[in-house]
Amino acid sequence: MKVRNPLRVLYDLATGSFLDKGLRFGIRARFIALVAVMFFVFALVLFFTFSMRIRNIFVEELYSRVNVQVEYLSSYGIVLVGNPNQENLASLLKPVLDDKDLEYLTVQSVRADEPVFSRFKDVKLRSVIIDSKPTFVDQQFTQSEQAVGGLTIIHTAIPIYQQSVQMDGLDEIETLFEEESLGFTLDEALEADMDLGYDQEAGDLGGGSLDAEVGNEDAEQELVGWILYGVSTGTALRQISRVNYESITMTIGFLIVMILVMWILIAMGFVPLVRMAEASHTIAAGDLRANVDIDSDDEIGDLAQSFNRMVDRMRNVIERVQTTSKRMQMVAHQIDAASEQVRAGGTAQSEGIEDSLRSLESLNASIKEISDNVNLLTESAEESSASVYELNETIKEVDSNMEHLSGAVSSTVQIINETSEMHKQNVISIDNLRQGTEETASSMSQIDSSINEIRDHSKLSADTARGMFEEAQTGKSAVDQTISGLDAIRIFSEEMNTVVGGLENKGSEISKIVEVIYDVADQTNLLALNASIIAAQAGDKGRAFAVVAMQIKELSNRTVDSIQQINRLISSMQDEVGRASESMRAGNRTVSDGVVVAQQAGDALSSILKKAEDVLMTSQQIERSTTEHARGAHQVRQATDQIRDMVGQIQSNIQAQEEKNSVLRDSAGKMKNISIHVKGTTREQAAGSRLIKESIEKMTSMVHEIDQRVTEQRTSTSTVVESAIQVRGVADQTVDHMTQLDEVVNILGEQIELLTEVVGDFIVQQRSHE
Amino acid sequence: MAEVDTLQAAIFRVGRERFALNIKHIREITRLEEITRVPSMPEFVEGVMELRGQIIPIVDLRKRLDADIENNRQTRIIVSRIDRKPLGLVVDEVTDVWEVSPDEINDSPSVGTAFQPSFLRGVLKRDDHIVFFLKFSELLTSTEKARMDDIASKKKAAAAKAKASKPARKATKKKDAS
Repeated sequence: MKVRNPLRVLYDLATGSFLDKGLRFGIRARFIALVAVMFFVFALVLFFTFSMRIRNIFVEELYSRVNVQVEYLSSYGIVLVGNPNQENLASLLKPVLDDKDLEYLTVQSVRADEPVFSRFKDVKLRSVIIDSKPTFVDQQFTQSEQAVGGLTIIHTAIPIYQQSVQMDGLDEIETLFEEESLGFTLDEALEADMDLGYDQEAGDLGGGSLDAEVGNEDAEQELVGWILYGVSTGTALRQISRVNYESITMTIGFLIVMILVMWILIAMGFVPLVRMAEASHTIAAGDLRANVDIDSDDEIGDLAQSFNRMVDRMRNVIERVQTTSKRMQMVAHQIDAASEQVRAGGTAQSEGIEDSLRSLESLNASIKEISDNVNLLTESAEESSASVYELNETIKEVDSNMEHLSGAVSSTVQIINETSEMHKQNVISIDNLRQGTEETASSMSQIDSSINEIRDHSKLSADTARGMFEEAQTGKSAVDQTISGLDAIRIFSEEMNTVVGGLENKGSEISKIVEVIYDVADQTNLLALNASIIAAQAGDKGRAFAVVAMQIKELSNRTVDSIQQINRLISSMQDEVGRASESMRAGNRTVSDGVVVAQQAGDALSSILKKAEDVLMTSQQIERSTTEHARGAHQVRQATDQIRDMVGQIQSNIQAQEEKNSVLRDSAGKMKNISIHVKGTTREQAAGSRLIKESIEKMTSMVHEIDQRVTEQRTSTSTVVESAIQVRGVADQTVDHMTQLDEVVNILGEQIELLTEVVGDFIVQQRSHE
Repeated sequence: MAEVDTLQAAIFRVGRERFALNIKHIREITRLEEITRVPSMPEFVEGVMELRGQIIPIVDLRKRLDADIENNRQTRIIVSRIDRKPLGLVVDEVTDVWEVSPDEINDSPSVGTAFQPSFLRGVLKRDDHIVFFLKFSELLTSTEKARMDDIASKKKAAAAKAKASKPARKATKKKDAS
C-alpha cells in the first residue's frame, strides 16, 4: 500500500506539480479537502454559536448568582465589634476570598472615600483600582458594574455595621469572636445569613448569636462601611475564551486526527484505483502482464474485475495477434523465397532464351551463307548450262562441219578417184578442204576451251555444293541446340508454374490468418469501447484508464488498417501471381510453338542436307564426266589437228605428187575413215554434252528447289527467332512481374513487421517464457 | 476540475445515420448474442439475453429508428440502464466514445428526419458528421416503461423457464431477420 506523504501532497498542491503530472488534483486530496473544509466551517459555526451562548448563559448565571446574594444579603451586614483593623479584617476576609472564588474583595468605609482594604486574589490585578464607590440607595447597597481597567465587575456589597457597645453586649460579642475566631468566616456568616434568610422564611430563628445581635432592633448600629466582593465579567470571559481556545485546539486536533484517519481510510479505499491506475500506466507502456489483485464487492471491485478481464482478453488477443503475425512473417519469408526462386527460374529462362537466340542467330547466319552459296551455285549452274549450250552448238557446228568434211572427203575421194586429172579443181578442193579442216580445228579448240570452262564450272559447282552441305550441317546442329534450349525453357517454365501455384496457396493461407487477426482486432475494439465506458463511469480516476482504452482502440484501428492494407497487398499479389502464371503459360505456349517451328526448321534442314548431298554427288558426277568429256574433246582435237596436218600433207602431196592418186586415194580413204571416226566421236561427244546438259538442268532444278527450301528455312528460322524474342519478352515480363511481386511481398513483409512491432510493444508473457 | 460541463457520449450507427447516447446510461457494449424470445412479452421487446447471469430485455433500436434490420459482425448491443433496470439496445455499429460539450449540441431540425423528434436531444456536428444526440429517457414511452415494470417480475420467471428449456425456445437472429 502506498500512501502519499501529506507534506508532499501539500508541496505538490502548492507547486501545482499534480497538474504537471497530468494527475491533476488527486481525488483523495480533493475529497479530504472538501470534507475538512466542511467540517471546519461547521465547527466554526458551532463554536461561535456555542461560545456566544455560553457567554450569555455564563453572564446571566453570574448575574443571577449575584442577584440572589443581593436579595438575601442586602439587609444583613457584618457587625464589627471594636475597631476593625487591617489585620483582623484580612484574617477575616481571606477565607472568603479563597472559598468563594471571588475575584476581589474590598472593604469600603462609609466615611472615607478610599477603600479601607482592597485585596485581589490575583496579585497581578493589584494595579486595578476601584475608583468609585458603590451606589447607595437609601443606605442600601446595590449591585453595580464598574468598568475597571477594561473589566466589568459585578459587585456584591455586604454592609458593615459598628455596634455602639454596651459593655456586656460587647463582651458577649468579643467572646463570641474569641471563641470562634478561627471558625467564623465571612462566608459562614454569609451562608448563615442565607440560611437565616431561608430560616426566616421558614420561621426558624435558631441562628447564631451574631444574627441574634443583628436581629436585635434595640441595638444601636451604625453603618461603617461595606464589604464589596464579586467577580469580574472579564475573568469569566477570559475563562470562556480559555474554554474556547481549548475547544478550538481540540477541534483542530480532532480535525487533524480525522483527516489522518480519513486519509488512511480513503487511501485504503483507493488502493484498488491507485493500483489500477498503476496497472493502466504499465499497460499504456505496453506491458500487458499487469494484473490487479482486488477482492471487493463494490463498484471498484467490479471495475477491477472487468479491468482484469479486459487485460486478460487483450493479452490473449495480443498473443494471438503476435502468433499469427509471426506465422505471417514466416509465410511472407516463404513467399519471398519462392518468388526469389521464381525470379531465378525466370532469369535462367531468360539466359536459356538468350542462348537459344544466339544459336538461332548463328543458324540464321549459316542459312544466309547457304543461301549465298546456293545463289552462287545457281549462277554457276546457269553459267554451266549456257556454256554447255554453247558447247552443244559448237559440237553441232563441228558435227555439221564434220558432215561437210566427210562429204567433202567423200567427194574429194570421189573426185580423186574419178578425176585425178582435174588438178586445178583438186587444188581448189584441197584448198577448200584445208580451209574446212582449219575451221574444224578452230571449232575443236573452241570446244576444248568450252569443255575446260565447263570442267572449271563443274569443279566450282562441286565445291559450292560441298560448302552448302557443310553449312547445312552447321544449321542442323544449331537447330538441335535451339530445340534443347527451348526444352530447358519449358522445364524452367514448368518449375515456375509450380512455384507460382504455391504462391497462390500461400496467399489464400495469409488471407485466412488475416481474417483471424481481423476478428481479434474487432474484439479488441469492442473491449476498448467497454473500457472507455467503464473509465468514464469511474470519473476522474478513470482518466488514465480511458487513455489506455483509447490507445488500445487506436491500436485496434491501426491493426484493422494494416489488415486492410495487407488484404489489398495480398489481392494485388494474387493478381501479380495470376498474371505471372498467365504470362508463363503464354511463354509455355510460345515455347511449344517454338519447339514445333524449330523441329520444322530441323526437318527442312534435314531435307536440305539430303538434297545438298544429292547436289554434291551430282556435281561430282558432272565433274567426273566433264573431265572425261574434256579428255574426249582433247582426243577429238588432237585427231582434228592430225586431220589438219594430214590435209596439209595431202595438199602438199597433191601439190607434190599429183600423180600418186592411189596413195592419195588410200589417204583419202584413210581420211574418210578417220573423218567417219571423228564424226562418230563428235556424235558421241554431242550425246555426252546432252547428258551433261541434262545433268546440269537437273542440278539447276535441284538448286532451285534447294533455294526454295532455304527460303522456307529462312522464314522458319525468322519465325523461330520471333518466337524466341517473344519468349524472351514473356520471360522478361515474368521477371518484371516477379520483381513486382517481390516488391509487393516486401511491402507485405514490412506491413507484417510493422504489425509485429506494434503488437510486440505489448509484453504479454513472463520473460522466462519468451 | 477541468471541464465539469462536458459529457461523454458513445457514438453508434443505426442504418446510415449516426447517433449519440450519454455514456452515463450505458453499462457496457456486447456483441450480438442469441436472443431468446419469451412468451407474453410486449411486442416492442425483441426478447431477452443472458449477460453474465443477468437477464436483459432487448429492444431493437433499428426498428425504433426505421432502419433496415441486417445483422453482421459489427452489430452490437448497448446494455443500458433505464430506471435502474438493464435494457439492451440493438444497433448496427458502435464506433467511438467522444467527449462532448453541451454547446456542441444544436437544436434538432423539426423536418426531414426519419424519426420522431421527441427522441432527439439535439444534433451534434463534428468532423463533417451529423450525429443525432438521443434523449435516453424518451427512447421508451411512459406506457412502455410501465409495461416493462409490469413484466419485470414475470420476465424473471419466464427467463428462468426459458433457460431451463433453452433449445426449444431459442429464437435466433436469423428468424428475427426473416
